[in-house]
Amino acid sequence: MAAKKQAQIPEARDVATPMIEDKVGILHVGIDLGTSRSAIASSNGTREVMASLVGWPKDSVSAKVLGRTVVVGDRVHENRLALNCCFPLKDGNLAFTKLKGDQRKVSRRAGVRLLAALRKAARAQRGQAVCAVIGAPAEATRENKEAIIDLAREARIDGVMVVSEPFAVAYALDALENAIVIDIGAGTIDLCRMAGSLPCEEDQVTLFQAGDYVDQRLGELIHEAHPEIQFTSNMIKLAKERFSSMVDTQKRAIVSFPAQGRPTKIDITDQIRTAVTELVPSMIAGIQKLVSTFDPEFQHKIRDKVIVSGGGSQVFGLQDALESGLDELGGGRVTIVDDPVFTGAQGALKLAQDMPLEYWNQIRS
Amino acid sequence: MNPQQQPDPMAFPGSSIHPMEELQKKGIRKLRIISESQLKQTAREAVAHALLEALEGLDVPDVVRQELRIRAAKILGKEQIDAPQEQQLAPVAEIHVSSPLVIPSVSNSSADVSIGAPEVDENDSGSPLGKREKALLLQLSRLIAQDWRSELALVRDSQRDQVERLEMRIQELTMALQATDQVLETNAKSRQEPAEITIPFDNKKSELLDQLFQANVALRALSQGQSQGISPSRDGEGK
Repeated sequence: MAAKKQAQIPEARDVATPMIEDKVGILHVGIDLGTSRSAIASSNGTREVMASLVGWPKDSVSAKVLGRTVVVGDRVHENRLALNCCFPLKDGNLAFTKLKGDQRKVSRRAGVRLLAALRKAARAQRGQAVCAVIGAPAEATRENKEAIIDLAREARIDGVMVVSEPFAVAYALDALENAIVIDIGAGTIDLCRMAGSLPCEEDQVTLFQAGDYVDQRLGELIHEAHPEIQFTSNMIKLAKERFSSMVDTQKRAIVSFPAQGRPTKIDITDQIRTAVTELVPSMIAGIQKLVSTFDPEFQHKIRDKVIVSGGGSQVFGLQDALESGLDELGGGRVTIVDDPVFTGAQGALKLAQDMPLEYWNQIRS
Repeated sequence: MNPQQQPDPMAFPGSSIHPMEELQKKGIRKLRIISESQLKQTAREAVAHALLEALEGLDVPDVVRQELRIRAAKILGKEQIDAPQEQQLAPVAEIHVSSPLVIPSVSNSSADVSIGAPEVDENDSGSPLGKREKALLLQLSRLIAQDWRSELALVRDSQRDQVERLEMRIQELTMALQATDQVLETNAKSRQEPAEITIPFDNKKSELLDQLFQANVALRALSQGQSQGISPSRDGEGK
């Protein structure tokens, strides 16, 4: 009997994951799994971006008001007072990998929910196998990459491959040789040196002072200057995204934050500039590390092809600030990608589409 | 453009001659030929038009004005122009038909085009055109000729511009055609030689994809080995 059962298992698995005969049966998906926002691009043309945030109703009343048992994405921000919120990612990694007990379970479940929401956003047709390439931080731990694969499977993503996020950006831009890609996210800034092969550990640098660090510093600076002002991290984030600047402009960053319950207009131009500018030296140091350990004959080439992507790339004046920093290393040229939100997801999608069918069949089996 | 620069006494100043073959090469398939007489007639008509327009502002006796109007109308083929006025003044106009106005040939465009009156005895009290009137007419004719010449020059310039633009476009298209031919030839060659189908970058990409696949297979193997004990539970959501 036992032998019979054992013989039946592979047969059952074959039924569950039939071989894909042609690419029509596959929906290729590229996912940029970000700490703050996650983007998805699929081969049917769908592109969506959502907040990497999951919330469960606090009680039965809020569940009834919301009309669902779990909320994912930007709606969580809107209804956060009625929800227990959970950010499944922290510092670019799945947060549950560093947690224990109940917190770990909840965080893990939030990760599955987020990936399931992304899968749903891809709009796969019935019977279509979803094969995804997911972008992870450049220096994501092996444990974290394994966790992404596990969670994606639980989220009913049939085939999963994990790739370094800057590599996905480089692939999207066909900048696979003699280039440095910098992906500025909320949790991490990933720097990756492209030398015509899959980047290894020495080719990548991850900085943990990124968008979230800017928010934190901005909060500190505003509190120092205006102790009476009340604000949340979300308010700070929105203000930063609206007014981020590194150079002197005529425009002032005037926000209306409450003080003693009364809306009060304050000028936070200097605070934003200071907080954002603090990122540049570490980025320059990262670039220097990647350049100095590269083949001396080709160092000038990668200095001349520094590509910046990610939500943080939109900071006004960043290009000039980085180029000024590069001057000390002998000069270089910085390019900001046109579509910072989706370039990573597009690169991951391109990888998924270019991957031979037999590879996907092997990954799924 | 490579116009032949042989002097031709009959040629219009500033004009050039192009061999038919050259024009055909440039894609020009049809030409409209305008005879010199037609061109002269057009010029006469232009002068007549200008004269009619400027006539009211001229300080000349009504009789002269009427005569000029009739002449211009004749050239324009509008015999019935201002018919009531003409009928009213007809008897007076008939008196002065003996001193006709001649609009000279356009072919001699190096000289000022003038509306020259035949030699008239200035002492002839019967002549309606005195010295002052003649001078005015001469001035008028010079002005009209000047206008006409500048208009012709404008037309000529715009035509030249158009021709130049067309030539540039033809050159561009020819280059594009050559490039297309080259690509087609290369494709045809590569089809004949299957060994040369893959370009180095494609090879590099497939190598990269292979490396990525191998890395993920290894990762998956590790993940499967370690996650044996983890059983994803879906109950207790939200706690």
